[in-house]
Amino acid sequence: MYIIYEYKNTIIERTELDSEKLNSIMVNRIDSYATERLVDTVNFASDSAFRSAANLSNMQFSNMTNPEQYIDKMDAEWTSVPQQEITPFMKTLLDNQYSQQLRQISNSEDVLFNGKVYGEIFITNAYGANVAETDKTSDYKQSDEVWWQEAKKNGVYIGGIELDNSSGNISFAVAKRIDDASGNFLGVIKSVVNIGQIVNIIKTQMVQSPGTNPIEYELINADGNVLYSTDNHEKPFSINVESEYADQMKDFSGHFTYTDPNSDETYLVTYSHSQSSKISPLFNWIFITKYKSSELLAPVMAISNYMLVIIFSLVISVSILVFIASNRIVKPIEAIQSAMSDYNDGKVTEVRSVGSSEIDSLAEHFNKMIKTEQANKIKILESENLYKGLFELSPDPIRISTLDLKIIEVNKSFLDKFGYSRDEIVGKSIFETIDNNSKETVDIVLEKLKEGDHVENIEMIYHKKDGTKIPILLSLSLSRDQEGNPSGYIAVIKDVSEIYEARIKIQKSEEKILNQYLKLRQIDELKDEFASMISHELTTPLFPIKFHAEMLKDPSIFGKLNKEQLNSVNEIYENSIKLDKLISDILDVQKLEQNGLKFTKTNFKLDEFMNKIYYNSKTMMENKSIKFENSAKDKITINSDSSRLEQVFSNLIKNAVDFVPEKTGKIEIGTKSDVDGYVKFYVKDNGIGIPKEKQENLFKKFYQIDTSVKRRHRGSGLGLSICKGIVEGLGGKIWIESTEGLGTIAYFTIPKGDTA
Amino acid sequence: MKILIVDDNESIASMLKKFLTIKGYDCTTSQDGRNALDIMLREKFDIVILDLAMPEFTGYDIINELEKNGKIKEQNIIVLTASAITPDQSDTLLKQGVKSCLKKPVTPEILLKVISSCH
Repeated sequence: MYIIYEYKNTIIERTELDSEKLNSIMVNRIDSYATERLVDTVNFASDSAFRSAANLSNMQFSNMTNPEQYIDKMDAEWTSVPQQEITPFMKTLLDNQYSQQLRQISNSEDVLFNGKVYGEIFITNAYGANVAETDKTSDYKQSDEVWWQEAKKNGVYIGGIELDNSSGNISFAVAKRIDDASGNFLGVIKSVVNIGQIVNIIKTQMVQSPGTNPIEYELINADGNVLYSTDNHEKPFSINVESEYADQMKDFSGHFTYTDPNSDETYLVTYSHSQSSKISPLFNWIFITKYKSSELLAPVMAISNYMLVIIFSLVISVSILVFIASNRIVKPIEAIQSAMSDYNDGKVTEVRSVGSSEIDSLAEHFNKMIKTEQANKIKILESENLYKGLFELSPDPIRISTLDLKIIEVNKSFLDKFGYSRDEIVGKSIFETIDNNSKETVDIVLEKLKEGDHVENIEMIYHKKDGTKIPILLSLSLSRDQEGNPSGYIAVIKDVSEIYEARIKIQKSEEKILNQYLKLRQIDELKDEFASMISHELTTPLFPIKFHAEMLKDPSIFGKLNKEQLNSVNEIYENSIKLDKLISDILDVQKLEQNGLKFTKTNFKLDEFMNKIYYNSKTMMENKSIKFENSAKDKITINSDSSRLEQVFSNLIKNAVDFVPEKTGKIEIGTKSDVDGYVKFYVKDNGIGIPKEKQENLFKKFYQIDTSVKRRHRGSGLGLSICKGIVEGLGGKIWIESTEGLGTIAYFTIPKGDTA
Repeated sequence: MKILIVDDNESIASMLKKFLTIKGYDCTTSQDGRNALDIMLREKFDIVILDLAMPEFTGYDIINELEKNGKIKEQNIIVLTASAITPDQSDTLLKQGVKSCLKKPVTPEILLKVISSCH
């Protein structure tokens, strides 16, 4: 009977050990998946678009006299309407460009899982008010929420794993602090991350799992609620885990048995906690495997029951035998005794019928017992083969060693991973594959192992036969012999180089992006500063040059100059005006780039405006003998920035003047207001025209059609790019139609605007 | 009529003084912001032509000090600067009590017009 007891214990111990190992592999897989999702989420929270969303909103709120009061007021309104109702205020929020962008992200799908990666996503500003959201949130004010305060304080908040019973979705919430480039608090982005894929991971595992099949897998969260159960249980073991079994699962991983009071059935339960609980205590789950003890011990119980029957029968029979003391009985009994002795020596001898029905029945029982045990032995062998299969087929390398760290056995995955043949590695020290830097860790691990029989997920560096380093997670168990004395170590080695590399890659690219960003910002600031500085430094000497020329031109100040002197002064004056124009062009270009060109729109009459343009240039045209015409006939009123439009015309006319032939030059300006809601202006010349391939570059900064040193026409190349900036800033378009040798027409459109 | 010309650029300060003296004004120049403020607190001028970008003590500093002392309205300040001033900036200056904002290079004609409109 002792052997049966021992055998029973061996089966249970093996099941516990293997099942715990399986649980930890499962939890690791689920962890990697969830951690990847977490990293993705934290990354997209750094997007610059969301940064500017929060920033813009903060600027608005900072202008309020009492932003808190405003938020409270809006929040009260928000929560007073029914859940389905969308007020105009909510609609504006839901329809803004950032909300649309968030919805695009939230609609992306996980190809593996075949479902949405993100549930609700929303952004708040630094005051805790919503700025953008994918769906209507339950309230408007977030500054009173724990996740908001934690994200603001610690940078990141990770919520617990939740199951939505109606949709079956498993998810967790992540909130990330949004900072500007100097680390100032701008707001918080919160998202709900769906991790339903973990159910598929469990299902796949169930199919692959060898050995005695557990009757149920369960995944429960930190609150003790079931996230997934293969038996559709809503509570772990259908009873309350908090009151009865939470205490049993305090260790990182382990096992315990319990008896269901309703059915009297005993269960063996093995469990493993998530590694991710180190990231957040809420981010914890427990993977549970449940076995029915009766099924697990079926082979042992069968032997045990038969043994009892036989022993009982023997006692009765022997009593009867002693009682009647018959020769007829002694011989067959001796035959049975001899068969039993054979059986003890390992031989199986069948007892033949002797004619006595009682003894025959006894012999029959004996034969049956022997056969049943034979069958059970085969079952045990089969079960051993299954464990061997599990060892051999495990995707993670497994290494079995003696107490003095000599390798006894490794699986195929170990050989493949580290590049050895079985003969090369078996018999060697375990240090053969451990990197120098991790050798000290071995002592620490062995020391830890004295506290319990199992240590998990120790980070170490191993190396292949060829020296290639592999970062791994080591789980080590102490194995014991039948007397319970330590006999060696079983190591499960998980290759984490992919995660490791990905982590390093992410870190590197983040650093790189940050550096590039800082560099670009610096250059951008330098450029803006440079433009302002240049314009100030050029203007300072230009002012006295121009002013002196103006004083000299005025005979009432220094007296009358002779003709030659006046010509010289005029030259100085004309050139100082050109320089002044160039400086203001440079400033305009800089403002256009910063979107800082401000427009002052007023109502004005189109015909009066065109007349002004015409008379501004009329004298210059006459001096150059250019035929100049104004064909504008529209007498409507429009609303736009007339002085900026004047600037556009003056640039276009100046270009035309530069390119028309001497003496036969002809320039015409005009309007067409029949275009829907727009006025179309044009400047037409009979100049040399512009080749087709050069037309598209015309509006680029500093572009010159003829860049040769001998070019006839000089200029900064800024005029047309400023025209384009102004016209587009006012809501219109500008383009050129030109035929080489015949002339050019420059068109631009401007919205008529609201003149009410 | 007394005009104080404040500009750290010597060439500009003396040119304006020459021009305005010919036009009949009684001109004083100062090329240092702090010194200019002292003069303004001591003496009353009909017009002050004030440059903004000056080393150490700028035109802005002078305006802020005068505003603090409540004396800015007495001074009839015309800002004359080489930097581009945005409409927002000029609004702020005018609110503070400056009479007018001019951008260099201003023409003699406009300068005279603004001076005569400011007192």
